[in-house]
Amino acid sequence: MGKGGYVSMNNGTLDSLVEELNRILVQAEAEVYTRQKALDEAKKEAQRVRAMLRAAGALEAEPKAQPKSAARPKRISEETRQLVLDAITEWENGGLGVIPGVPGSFTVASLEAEAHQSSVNTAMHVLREEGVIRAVGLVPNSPRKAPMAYARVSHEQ
Amino acid sequence: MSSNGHVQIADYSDREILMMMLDLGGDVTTPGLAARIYGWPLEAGWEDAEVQTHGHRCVAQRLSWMRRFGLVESMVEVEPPHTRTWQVSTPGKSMIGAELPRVVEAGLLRATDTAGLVLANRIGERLVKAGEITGTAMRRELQFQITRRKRSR
Repeated sequence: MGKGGYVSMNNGTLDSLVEELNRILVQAEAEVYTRQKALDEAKKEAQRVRAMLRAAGALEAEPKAQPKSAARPKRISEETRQLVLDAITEWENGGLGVIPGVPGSFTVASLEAEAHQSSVNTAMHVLREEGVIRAVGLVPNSPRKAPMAYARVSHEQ
Repeated sequence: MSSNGHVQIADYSDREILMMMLDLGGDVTTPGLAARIYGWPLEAGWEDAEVQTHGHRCVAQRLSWMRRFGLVESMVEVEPPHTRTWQVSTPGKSMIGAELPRVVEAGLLRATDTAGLVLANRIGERLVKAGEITGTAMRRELQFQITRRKRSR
């Protein structure tokens, strides 16, 4: 038998194998479909029963997912607020600005507030939401992660 | 702030973006405003095509919405490369420069918590009667404050 004969015999074997595998695949897909349908039905039934139990007071309502720490309320004391506002005024009086063209712009690090940095961060957040200060943009050419620059809101723009 | 800690365009309010545009001289291009918002290096030669394209797209989309609200206007140069510039509109300028009279400010500070419903009603009345641009700006500010309240509960 020449080379061609070997190939044709080989092809014949492969064809039957492919046919058999295709048959198994169709069977398996049909089974997946049937079982998925049964699973969906069972889930719906469980949901219905759970709702009935909840309505009857026999099952507690599922607790709502707690918001992550980022969404925690941010509050500052009146003392911290005043310290930060004073530090901003002092910075503005110095006539400097961390963003070119925006005199008085500052970052948390540039202020010399006598409070913990995390309190100053929170104060910035609160003052920004209240509209006392505004974000001016990120400080360009920062060596690491660029800090946010702020400025006091002026109504004379 | 995005999940990876990077600043996003949504971190800035309409008011802040309008003020930023005035900081930049009033006539700004999309790349100019994007560089300020994202703190891109000032020196020439700094390039990151992927980052810049994404930033430009975000800024252009936000400005397009703000133009729809009437807060900004835009112009395209007739000559190539047909650069688009953005300006704060007249209603936008008057809104960011507006202040409440001292008497009103003092009255609001003095108002008790129980007067909140009356206060909300009066603001609602103003919102109903406000013009299209002012009304949209008021609605967006109220939405911002409602979100803030939800976060603090």
